[in-house]
Amino acid sequence: MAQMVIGSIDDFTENEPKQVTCAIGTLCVIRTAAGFRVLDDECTHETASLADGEYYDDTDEVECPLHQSTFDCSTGASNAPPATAAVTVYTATVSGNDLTITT
Amino acid sequence: MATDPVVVVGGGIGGHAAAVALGDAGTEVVLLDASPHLPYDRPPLSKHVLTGGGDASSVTLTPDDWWAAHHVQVVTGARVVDIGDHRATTATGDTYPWSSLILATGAAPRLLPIAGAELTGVRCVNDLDGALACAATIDAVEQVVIIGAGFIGCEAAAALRRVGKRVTLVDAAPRPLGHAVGETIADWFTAVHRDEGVELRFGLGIEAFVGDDHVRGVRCTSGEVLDADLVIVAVGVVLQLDLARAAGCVIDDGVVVDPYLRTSRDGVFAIGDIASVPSRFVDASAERTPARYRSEHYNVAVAHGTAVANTLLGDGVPFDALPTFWTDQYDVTVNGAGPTERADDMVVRGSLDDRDFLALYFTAGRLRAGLACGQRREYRALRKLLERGDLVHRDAVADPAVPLASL
Repeated sequence: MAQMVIGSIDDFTENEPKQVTCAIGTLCVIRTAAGFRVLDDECTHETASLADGEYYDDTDEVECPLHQSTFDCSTGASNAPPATAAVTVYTATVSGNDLTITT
Repeated sequence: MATDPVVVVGGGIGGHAAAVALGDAGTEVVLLDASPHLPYDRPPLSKHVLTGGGDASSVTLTPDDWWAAHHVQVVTGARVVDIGDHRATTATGDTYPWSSLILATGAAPRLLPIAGAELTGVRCVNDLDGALACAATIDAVEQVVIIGAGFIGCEAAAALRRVGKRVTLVDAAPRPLGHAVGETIADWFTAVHRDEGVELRFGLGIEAFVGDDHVRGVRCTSGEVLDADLVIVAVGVVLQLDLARAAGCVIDDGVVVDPYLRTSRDGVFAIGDIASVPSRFVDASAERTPARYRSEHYNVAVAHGTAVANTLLGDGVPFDALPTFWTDQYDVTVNGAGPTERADDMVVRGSLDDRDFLALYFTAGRLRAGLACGQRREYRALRKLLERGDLVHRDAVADPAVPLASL
């Protein structure tokens, strides 16, 4: 288990997914009222960036911008086809202004 | 006594989803597929695969070692000819006993039985070998004629324009996409293709492919010959119902199943293109009461596959997923929900010209379906309305100033 700082919390606007590139790859980061959500950014169906999609706070899901597969932001599970495989999710913690994930 | 495996007949996306879900849960599965390939993803075939942008491995859904690790025996090249006696028998005489059997036989491309159909360069892209055969000679191709302006024909036209081919899209109907999306949206798709430089020839019948050994053109019923060094035939599909019929399953416009995807034959299930499933998302008709729905779209087949696996695992619930679909053409992605093809009225909210719209479809005045290009939050609100099953009338949603999320 390693800790990695992936940005400053001031870089993120609530409920707006944002793409972050770091040493482990490209991530989709969402600042929510309930904390940060960090997932692998690429949809498991085709090549699309989840950070270009919508985040829905009522269900805590991010939706692929192409074909509307939705992923549960706490488990990464696909909730709607065409994607069936889950995306990897990372535990995010905040210390000071630093956003840190556990890998 | 050990239980016989679950046998899945057909390795399309529905059969694949069922086999993966069962394998994941530790159930012994045999997946029999007539194709020589491991189960693969079909949507890319009418897009980048046919133009050489992806090989066989790029569309393989699940690698060999996963199947082996999950006790799923995938048998390729296995054409099943009989499922009687709790055994699936292949054309080569191999037999596979089953405890339950899932028919996921899908559909095969409709062929055009006209002169010249045997010429090289006359292709279908519904299966991987057809798409790869197009790709193998694509560099030498200058002029393509596509017969049939359904989803596959339109997507193929887009892919071929993208790599600079001259493309003529021919259909006997006056506009593309049949009855799938209605006239207004069909005309919008027509404009998209015209803007991208496709030569569109609607209302035109064809009577022969001409050439030496290789196709050189398509002769139309008007006598005109359209030049071609590649012809893609995309004139719809034929459901593969022979096994179900021979097994004595009740059939209407597909294999009749109950909400658990069970056919009328004990232990035999049907999913995907061939399954006619009770649905609250469509209206009953004189021929079909209670209402049933059959879909040839990917998302529905995936949902069937997952649902039938749950049933076999003892966690079954009545199938109740809203049918959804998509099409990708050029930079345009259109997503759809509900039975757009059965609508008798339609309202567009947003802008067709800006490629940012939501089209709402009505049957007898009731909101039943929609298509979205952009408008993601409104499209989600639409899906939730349809899933809730509220009776929403045309007048309540015709005004685009009223957000669907407010209903």
